[in-house]
Amino acid sequence: MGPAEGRRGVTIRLEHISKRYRLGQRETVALDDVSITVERGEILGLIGHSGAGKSTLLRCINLLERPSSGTVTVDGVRLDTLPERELQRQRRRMGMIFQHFHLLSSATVAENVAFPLRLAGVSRTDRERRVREVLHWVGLAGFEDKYPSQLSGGQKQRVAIARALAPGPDVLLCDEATSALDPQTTQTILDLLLAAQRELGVTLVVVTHDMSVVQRICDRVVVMHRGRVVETGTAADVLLDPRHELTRELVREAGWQMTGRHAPLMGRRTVLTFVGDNVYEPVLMRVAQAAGVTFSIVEGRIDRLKVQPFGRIVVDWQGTDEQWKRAAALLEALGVSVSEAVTTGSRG
Amino acid sequence: MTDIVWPEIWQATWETLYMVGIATALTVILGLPLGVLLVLWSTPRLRPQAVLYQVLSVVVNIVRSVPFVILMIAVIPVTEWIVGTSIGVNAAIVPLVIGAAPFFARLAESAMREVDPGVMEAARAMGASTWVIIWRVLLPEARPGLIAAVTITAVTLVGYSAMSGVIGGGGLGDLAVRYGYERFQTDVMLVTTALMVVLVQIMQMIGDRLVQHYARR
Repeated sequence: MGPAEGRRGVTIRLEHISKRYRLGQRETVALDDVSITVERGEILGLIGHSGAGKSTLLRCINLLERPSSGTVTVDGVRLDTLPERELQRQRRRMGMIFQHFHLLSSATVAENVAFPLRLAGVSRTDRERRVREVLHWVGLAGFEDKYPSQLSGGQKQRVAIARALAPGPDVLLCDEATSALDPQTTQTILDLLLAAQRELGVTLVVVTHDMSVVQRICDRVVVMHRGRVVETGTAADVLLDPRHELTRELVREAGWQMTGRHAPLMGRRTVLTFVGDNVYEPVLMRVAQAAGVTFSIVEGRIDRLKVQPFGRIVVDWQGTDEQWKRAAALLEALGVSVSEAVTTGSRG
Repeated sequence: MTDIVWPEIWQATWETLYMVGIATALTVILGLPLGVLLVLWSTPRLRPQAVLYQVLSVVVNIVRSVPFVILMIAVIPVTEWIVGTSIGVNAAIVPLVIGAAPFFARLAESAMREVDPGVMEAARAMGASTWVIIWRVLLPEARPGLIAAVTITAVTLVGYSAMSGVIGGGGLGDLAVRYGYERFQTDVMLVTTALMVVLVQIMQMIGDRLVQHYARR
């Protein structure tokens, strides 16, 4: 599979999407006037609890789900008004993967991957070549003649990704693609999705309930709650500075909302957030020496936000007010964001 | 066992195989599309048609609830119109197919309902039309269940074909009725019955082998 050069990007635009179901007398609103855009080449996360409407919204992009109202535009083409046959053609430009893979159990790996190529009318020899190529790309060279039942969950999802990418789509829609996988397999699948973005220039929309998926691969994130968008922003903004109560909860579940509440108070308690290379530098030591304070780390975690190093630690400072003022100024100057630790006993 | 007429028995065995073979083939040809329609018209993601489904469903149920002996006699006019006569092996095939097709349609319907709707959704996401989904997803994925349904239908047809002996349909059942029942030749009845047991066993075995071969889950 070649690199992304020259590939045309896509912008997905969903405007004023509502979806209402009628169940007997009761009407349920699955989506309530939702508008989102997906920039070409980005990985957009749709996050929320189950029932928030994120999967329904994802299915509106390729019209597997027909919105009750609103417009769907992909790469300048209004999809919601297209006749069925034309819509089928447009869908071939978008791949989709699912939590439970949804492979044909009666077909071999090669036949599964060839399925969308057949739909597109690719010749037999070109199909075979492309199947080999894309299976190699997902790391499953030599698996052509196996059946899905002979594969592990991670391998099945790789086949599903190969199938979705085989026709060279501009967009990949991922519906809880890692939710049925163990943590280690999840990482390899997320790496593959990142590679699809970087090497193939594919735009990804990723539905998840797991903030760590957002942390590892997303550029931007849309937080959904009860059929509405409650927060939108870059992955860094949402993760480091969540505004909506639900977002805070998701960030807390992912372990990034630290307060150090289990540790005895050893001084002035602060939460320090590092983004970028200063994560790996001896910042605390330098500040402590320059300002004449001492410190204790009571909680902390260092990780990466997609590729960017990032970390958050809860630190208790010992020293006079004057010394602390100096230390705080130094920290800010070194690019560390400082906030007072909120001691909210009700949380967690 | 001296008065057993072996040539007649072999002739009757061949007639049974012929009747069941042709009737099974025609039943599948007629019943499978009916089964597909039953699934298609009742599945929200395919082509839901509540009224058409109800009509077809009721028709299938009516035919299925008529006892075969009665159905056989009731369709004699149809048989005469199609075959030209109501007696003989070919004439027996008509009621067999009419009786078995709705039965097979139901079996096929339930086999296809076992197919993971998610796989069909994935095909739709890839831009497949309903026709392609039926042809390349629904039928291949249901294949083991469909083969089992064909086996059950063929075995049932062996039983039905024996009943057609009552109206002179030919085959082993006919022989059993004429010699065993009407002339009290118990030995002929036993031999013909034994042959039918063997026939059913062989058919079931072949069916099971095929199901096993195609079940890849």
